[in-house]
Amino acid sequence: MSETIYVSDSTPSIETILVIDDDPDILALLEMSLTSDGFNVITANEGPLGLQNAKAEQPDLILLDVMMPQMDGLEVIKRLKDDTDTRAIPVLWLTAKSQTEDKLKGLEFGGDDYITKPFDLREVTARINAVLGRTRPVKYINPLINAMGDSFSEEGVAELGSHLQAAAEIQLKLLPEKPPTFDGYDFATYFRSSTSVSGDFYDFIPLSDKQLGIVLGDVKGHGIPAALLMVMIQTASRLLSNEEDSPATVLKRINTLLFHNTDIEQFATMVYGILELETGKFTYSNGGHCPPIHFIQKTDNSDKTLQNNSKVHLLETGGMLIGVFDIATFSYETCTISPGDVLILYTDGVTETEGRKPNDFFGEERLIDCLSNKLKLSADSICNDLQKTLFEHSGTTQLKDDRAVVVIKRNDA
Amino acid sequence: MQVNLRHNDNVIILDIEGNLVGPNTIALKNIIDNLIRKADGAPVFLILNLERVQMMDSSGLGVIVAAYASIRRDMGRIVLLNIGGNIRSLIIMAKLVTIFDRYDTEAEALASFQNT
Repeated sequence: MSETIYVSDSTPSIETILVIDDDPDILALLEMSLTSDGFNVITANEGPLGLQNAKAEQPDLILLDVMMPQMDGLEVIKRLKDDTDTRAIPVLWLTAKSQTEDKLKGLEFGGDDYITKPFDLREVTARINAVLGRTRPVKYINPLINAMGDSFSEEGVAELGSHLQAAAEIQLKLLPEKPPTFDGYDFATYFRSSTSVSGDFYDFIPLSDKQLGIVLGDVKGHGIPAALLMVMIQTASRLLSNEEDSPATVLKRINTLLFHNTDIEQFATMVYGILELETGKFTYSNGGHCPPIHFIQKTDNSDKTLQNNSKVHLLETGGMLIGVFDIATFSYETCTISPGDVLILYTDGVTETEGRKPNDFFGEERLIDCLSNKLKLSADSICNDLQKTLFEHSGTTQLKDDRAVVVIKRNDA
Repeated sequence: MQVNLRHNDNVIILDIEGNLVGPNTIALKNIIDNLIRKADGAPVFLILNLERVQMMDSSGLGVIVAAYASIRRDMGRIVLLNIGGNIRSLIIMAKLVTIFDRYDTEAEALASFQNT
C-alpha cells in the first residue's frame, strides 16, 4: 500500500511567470518564448483564473493584460494588491499602444512597468529581468511581509529593505576589503551573494609576521538567518585562531559553540588553515566543506596528474560539518605550497552552478580542468576567468547560491 | 518533488522523487516532523528511499540531519536507501558516513530494523 503525500511540479529554483491575457495567441507566444528563456510559465485566459493561480502558485512576476472581458486588468491588480498573499508579486502590464491613459493609470495602481503591444519578445525578457532584478532581493522577505499581515505598509517594507541593505553593508565590511599582500604570494578573492546578505564567508587572519590564518566557509541557507550565523562563526574563528595553534582544535571549538547555541538544522561547513609564509607549509582542517584544491607544479607523490604536468591534491582531512554533532572530532594535515603552486578554496555555489540543461552542474571535475589551464596567470586573472567560465556554463548572471572563492598562488622563486 | 508514503510493519518508507534542493526541502521537513509528532514520543522507524533523487544540496542535508537527531531522541532509527552519486559524495564530504546507515536494497534496509 502506498499513498502519495506530497507533489509539487514546479522546480522552485526556476522563476515562475504568470501570464494573464484573454488572447490565446499571445498566451501561446509568451509561453513559448519565456519557457525557452528558462522561466517556468503559467497562463490564465481570464482575470479570476489569474487571481486563483497567483495565490496558489506564488509566481515571481505577473504579466497582466489591461483590456479583458469579465474582469479587466485594473480590477485584477486591485485584488492582487488587496490580498496579503499576492500583494508583493511584481506586475508588468501588457497594453496596446493606444492605451496610454491606461498605462499611467496602471502604474498608479501598482504595476511595476509596462510593455506595449505589439511587442518585441526580447524586450519582454529584458523588462522581466529588469523588474526581477529589482524585486529579487525583496523576494525572500516576502514571508516576513505576509507575517506582518495588516500592519504591512509601504513604509514598513521600505524600512525592512533599508535594514536589509544595512545588514548587507555590515556583512561586506566584515569580509576583508582586499586580499592581503605578502612577498612571494599572490592572493585574490571572488565573492558574490545570491541575495543581499550571504551565508558564505572568507577571512584572512594575521597570526604573526610569519603566519596567516585563512578561513572559508558556508553557512547553510541564505538570507538573514545564515548571515547572522556567519557573523558568529567569523567572530569565533578570529578569536579562537589567536588562542589555539591547531586548526583542528579551532574547528572543534567552533563546532561545540554552534552545537550548543543553534538549532540542529543550522550548520556550517568550513576550512581553516594556517599558512607559514616562509616555507609555504599549510596546516588545515576541513569541517565537511568541499575540499580546497592544491595544484602542485613540481610533480611528486600526489593524487592525480593533469595534462599540463601539474598534479592536484584535494584537502579533505578534517571532520564532520560544523554544529550538528557534539561528538564530532577533527584532524589536520599539512601540505606544502611550493613556488608555482596554486591553492583554491571555494564554496559549493561554484560547483553547483547549474548549466543551461537542468541537472548539469559545473562540478569539481570541470573546476579542476578549467583551473589547471590557468595556473600561469595571476591570482586575479584566475578568479576573473573562473567567473567568466561559470557565466558561460549557466548562461546567466543570476545566482542560485552564494559564491566565495579564495585563490592563493605562490610565485615562482 | 513527489513523496510517497508506505508502511512495512512498523517501518515507514518515504519514496522521494525529484531534487532535494533549496525551498523544495521544506515539504520533506514538514512531512518528517508530522510523522514524529504523530508518533507522540514513540520511536519512529524510517527509511528514506532516495533512488529517484538526483541532486541534494545543503538544505536537503539539513533536513536529513535534523530528522536523524529528532528520531534518535525518541530512540527511533532513520536509514538511507539507494543514495546516488551527488548525495553519496555530499554525505562523504560532510563526513557523515559514520552517522547514517545506508543500504542498496529495500530488503536489506528492512532487515536492518529486525535487529534493533
